[in-house]
Amino acid sequence: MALGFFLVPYRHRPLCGRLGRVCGMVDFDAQIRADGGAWREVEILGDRAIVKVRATAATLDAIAAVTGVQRIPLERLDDSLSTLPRPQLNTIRKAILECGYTTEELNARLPDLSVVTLRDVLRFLATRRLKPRYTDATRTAIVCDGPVLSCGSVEALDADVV
Amino acid sequence: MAFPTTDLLDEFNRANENPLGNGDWTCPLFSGADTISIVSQVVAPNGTGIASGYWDNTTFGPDAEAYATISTKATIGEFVFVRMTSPGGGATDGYICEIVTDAGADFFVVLRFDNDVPTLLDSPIEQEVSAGDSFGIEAIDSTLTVYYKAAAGSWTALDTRDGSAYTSAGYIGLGFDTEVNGRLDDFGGGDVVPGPITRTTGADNSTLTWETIGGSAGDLAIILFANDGGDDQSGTPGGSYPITRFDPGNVASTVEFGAYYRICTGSETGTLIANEGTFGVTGEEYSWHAFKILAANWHGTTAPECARATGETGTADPPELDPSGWGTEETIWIAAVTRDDNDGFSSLGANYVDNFGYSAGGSSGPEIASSWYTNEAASEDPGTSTHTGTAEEYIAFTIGVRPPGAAEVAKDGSDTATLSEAATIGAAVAETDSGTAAESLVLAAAITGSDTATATETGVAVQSVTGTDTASLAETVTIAVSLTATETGTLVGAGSLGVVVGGSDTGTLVDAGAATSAIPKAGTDTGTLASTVAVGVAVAGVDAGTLAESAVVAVALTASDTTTLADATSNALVDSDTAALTEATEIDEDEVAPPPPTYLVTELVMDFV
Repeated sequence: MALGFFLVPYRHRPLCGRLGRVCGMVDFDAQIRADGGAWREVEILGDRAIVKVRATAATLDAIAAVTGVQRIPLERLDDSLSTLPRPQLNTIRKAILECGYTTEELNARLPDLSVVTLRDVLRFLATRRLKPRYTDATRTAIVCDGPVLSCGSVEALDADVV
Repeated sequence: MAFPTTDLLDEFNRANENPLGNGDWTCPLFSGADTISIVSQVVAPNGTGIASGYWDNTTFGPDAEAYATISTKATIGEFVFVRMTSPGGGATDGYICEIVTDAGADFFVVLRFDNDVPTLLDSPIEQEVSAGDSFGIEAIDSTLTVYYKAAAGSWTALDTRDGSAYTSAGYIGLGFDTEVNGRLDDFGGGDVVPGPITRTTGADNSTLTWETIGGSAGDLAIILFANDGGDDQSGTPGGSYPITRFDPGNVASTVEFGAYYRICTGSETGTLIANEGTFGVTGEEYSWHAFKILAANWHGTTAPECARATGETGTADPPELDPSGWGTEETIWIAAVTRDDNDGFSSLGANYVDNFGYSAGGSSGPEIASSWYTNEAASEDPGTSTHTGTAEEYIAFTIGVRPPGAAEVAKDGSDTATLSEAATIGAAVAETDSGTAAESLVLAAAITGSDTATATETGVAVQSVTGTDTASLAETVTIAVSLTATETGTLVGAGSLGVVVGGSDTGTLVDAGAATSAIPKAGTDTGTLASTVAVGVAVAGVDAGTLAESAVVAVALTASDTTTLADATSNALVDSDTAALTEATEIDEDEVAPPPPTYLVTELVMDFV
């Protein structure tokens, strides 16, 4: 069994008789269970979630291959990003910005990704999220542009899947 | 922790009701959604959308729970919810726990609602259910716990979810997910009633404040601190609010584990664990578990005790503990282990399943697992733990916390406090009792000094006052009062009353029920005696008050009676009566025989002629 951290977008699907949000990892739930694994999520900015998965390497590879899903190639919170080649660091930086964080706040907190740990990156990603709402009375679309809300604990996420 | 901690709110055992209301419910929870109703004494959805109702009397929480029983298994889904705010306005926030029927195994899901928008939290939880089973959700701090109970089984915690988004009080209730066939029954919930222990965990170098522990005066705080590297723990952690170590001491292994306690004063504030330096350790990873045991749930003064086992490898096994400070009592037993690195503890023995808690260490830090249960025994051996790795050093604790003692009060000094006991009490107060004593059950009080407080007993009250009683004494059941000094208060007895007054009685004696009053008076009675039933009165001195009896009265006066004596039935007077004497029926006195009637003689003569 292997461990993996991913950035996964939410899917907007029918839920409880209306449009709702489910983490894209749900699509792999049966496969992860079949592996004897598990997964947990922490919602972050940009209608996305940090997801930690324990599954076979093949399943983790399949998850990483899904469009929109970004794998962070480290397993432990205290692993340093210094071990990653520059192209992977750039990919992680791009993924952070795609969540909605600004270049200014990223540079202020994590100016050099090559000298920080996975914990630093995930904690920054879990700085905030925005409250979702329906765009109209018929509840046909959802946007996440409401008040700022706090995110769950990265450490708790890490401890839940070992 | 036990679940549920609250009683049923509605069993729905009444006539059909559409929508569900009865002054307790509002439907629906969500704007534009369907309502629910009572059909044949269970709850049913109205319509094919999301149908729901909430208990509208009050909000509950933030620590709240809700649960219900599945009367008819749903085709799609049934749910209960907690922490719901802004109901019905299109901006409802909160959490629901739904049991989803599936062609394979059924599963539970936890959904967070933001502005009416549902979001699935983490993965579904597989659990097959049947009619008659129950399910529920509990929100404590930032943790949501899903519970399930088979019809003939007991409650089991299935899994937890993050509940940190909404931590305010909210409404609880139940509903159906686009469902027409499901039926729910026996809804309960409310504010979570704290158990004897609450636990906070800190994984991998977390801080801990006294505010997080939240101890009030008399609460017992226990902190278990583990550090990597084998550095000895030292000093007196806690600063202004010191905690006392009570485990056997440092092991000199590659991991250390210390058990500390403090009896809280309620004034503790600020940071308790800032870093490993708090415990005299330098540059090492650490973890901790902190417990709070409410004052009412432990002895109050007896320190907790700890037995320890250690090992370089192998299965961690908390040892037997036989506390030296107490014998066979309803002891709270805590089992706890730490291990270098992460070996993935999943159990601490069969009796320690419900309260199991685990904190992973960092990449090379110590993990901690702990749990507890309560059992009346002289000693405890929790059994072996379960974990995935066995190659690292471990330290295992078995901790005992003495339970509260029985309410036995013997006071030689002053008691100025309030005494409120819900169980049997034997209280002997030798001096002054100026507090309020309210006992709801049997009270046996022997006061040899003065009792100036108000005594209200609703059960059997036996009071013997040899000094002065200046307070009001009100007993609703059987009372036996023996006054050898002065009684200046009011004595009101609703049941049978036996009164023996050796001194003077200046108060009012009123008996509303059956009264058997045998009152021998050696002094003066200036009060009023009113008895509605049988009364036997023997006055040896002067009776200056009013004596009014509506039933049988036997009066024996050996001195003078200067007032009115009014008897509805028979009287017997053996001495002088200078007042008006009014008898409604027969009077027994010394009488002279009347002369024979003359008409009898005339009739005899006439007959003879």
